[in-house]
Amino acid sequence: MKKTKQSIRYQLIRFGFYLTALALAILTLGTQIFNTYDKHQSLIQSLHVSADILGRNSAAAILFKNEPDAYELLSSLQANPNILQAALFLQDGTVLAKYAAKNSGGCQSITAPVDSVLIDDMQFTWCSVLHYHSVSLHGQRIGEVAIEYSIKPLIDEIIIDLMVSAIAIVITLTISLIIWRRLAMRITEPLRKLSELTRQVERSHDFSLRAEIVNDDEVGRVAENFNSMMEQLNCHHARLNDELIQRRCAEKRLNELAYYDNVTGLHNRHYFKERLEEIVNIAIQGRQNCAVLFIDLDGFKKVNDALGHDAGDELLRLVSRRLEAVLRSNDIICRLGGDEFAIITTLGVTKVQVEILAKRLISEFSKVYMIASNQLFVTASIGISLCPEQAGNMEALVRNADIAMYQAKENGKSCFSIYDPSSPYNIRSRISLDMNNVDTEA
Amino acid sequence: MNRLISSILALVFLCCAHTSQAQMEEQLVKAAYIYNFLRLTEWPIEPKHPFNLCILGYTPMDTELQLLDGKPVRSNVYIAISHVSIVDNLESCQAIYLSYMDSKQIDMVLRKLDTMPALTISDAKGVSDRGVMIELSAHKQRVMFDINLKSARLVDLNFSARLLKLARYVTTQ
Repeated sequence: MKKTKQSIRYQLIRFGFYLTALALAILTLGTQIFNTYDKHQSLIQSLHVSADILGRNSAAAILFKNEPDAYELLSSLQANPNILQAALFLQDGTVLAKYAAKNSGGCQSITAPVDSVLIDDMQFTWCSVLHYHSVSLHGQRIGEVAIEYSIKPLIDEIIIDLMVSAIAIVITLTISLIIWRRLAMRITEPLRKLSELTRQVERSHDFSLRAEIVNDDEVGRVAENFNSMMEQLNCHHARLNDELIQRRCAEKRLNELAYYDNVTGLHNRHYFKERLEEIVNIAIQGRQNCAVLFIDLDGFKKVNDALGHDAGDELLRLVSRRLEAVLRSNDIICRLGGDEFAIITTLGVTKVQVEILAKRLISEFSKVYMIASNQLFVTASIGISLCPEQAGNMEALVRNADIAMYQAKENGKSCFSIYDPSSPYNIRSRISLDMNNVDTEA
Repeated sequence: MNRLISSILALVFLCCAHTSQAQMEEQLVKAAYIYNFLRLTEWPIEPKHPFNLCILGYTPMDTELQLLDGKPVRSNVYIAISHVSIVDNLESCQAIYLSYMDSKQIDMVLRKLDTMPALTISDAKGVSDRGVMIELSAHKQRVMFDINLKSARLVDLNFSARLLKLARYVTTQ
């Protein structure tokens, strides 16, 4: 089936217009045919009556061949302007009297009705009808009367009828067009709105939109079904959203598990490595300083052994809070494991600033901790390494910070140490670390 | 002399012959008129076959009137010509022709007919005033007629209006 591109509104209007036009055409044609036939019959009847009256009145004139009387009788026809010609014939076909209307010679010539077929016959032309009528007296034919009648008035009437009909058709078609347009609008407007609404839903993804139900008809039911479908879609959408939120929560949780330490809430070693790699790359490319501070708590194992793991964990959390309190928000604090913490300072930091920071940290750590009514003193050893001054890559930076941290411990704990490559300890430590790495890899 | 006499005789004969010819034609027209009168007259009782057209005695128009014998007056009603005399019973006559030759008997016939519905036609002069219903006359070779409508209506006879219109005089009083 061929798909149509025309709108329902246009199709409805066109269909209605054609339907009205067809109905009007049939009605007008039927009326015109009936009118024309009726007028034709009336004319014939009128002509018959005129001829009959004239014939009956002419009987005596025909019988006595009285020409003046016959002419007088025919002259009375001038009262009817539609009679163009008339004649009275004797039985033998000779003309008794003839009449012709003024200013009209008639369309047909009246001849003696020698042919009996012509008697009581109608001879039609485009301008007149000629009728021969026999004049009888007591059943005996005594002569003929011939009358020529103009059909111009008949044609004029038909033309006027046609013109009136044409005007009526034009007016009716115009009114029908207006009515059909309104009807089409009434039918298609809710559909158009519905279509517009679906497009709006498609554009905005707003499933809360609803169609307006104007009438309780087919279109109204479509709108109802649409609203019902939208309701379901909305529920489905909300459910999907919930699931998405839950999934995001789960992802967040997984992320937290992956990147955060669940004891202190700080970032874990995994996060530390990823971020450090990023920052080191940026620092090397931009020739901007960054630093890594390795912090190892002194005497943590003792606390753990003496007060238990919970107290140990609590101590770690307190340490974390102190770190957060001292450090800037853009510094990254991570717990690498056990009692080891690491700090990545932001780009553009100087060695002096790092030293100040390390001092503050040492100072902050040296304060008393209150755990389960116990006053605890735990210090920290801090190893610092700068990039790119002291390390060209992440591994070197981490190693150097680690070496520095060990050096700090060697220096008597509760102090910090900045990596110094020329230090003999560093060389030794490095070898020792390298050996450890070899062991681990093996 | 003989030749002259013979010429005069021949001329007189021709004149007489011409007059006779004109008279014959006039009588034929009169006969046709009489036939038309019968067709345009209405009797109180519709005529039935045969339609008796009576001729009083023997007249100069007998030959012409005889031509009307058998002609229809109404459908299926045909003329039957019969000669009657003053002593005959005239009841069977629907119409009676009275010749100018018998003008003296006309009054007698009229009296005898009295109220009988018989159409009376005559070519005698001035008879319509005496009670004859239709009086035929000829003037300049043209046949005319007068109608005494009063006499006709006395016996319930009537004439077509167009016939009355064609009459020269119609007496109603």
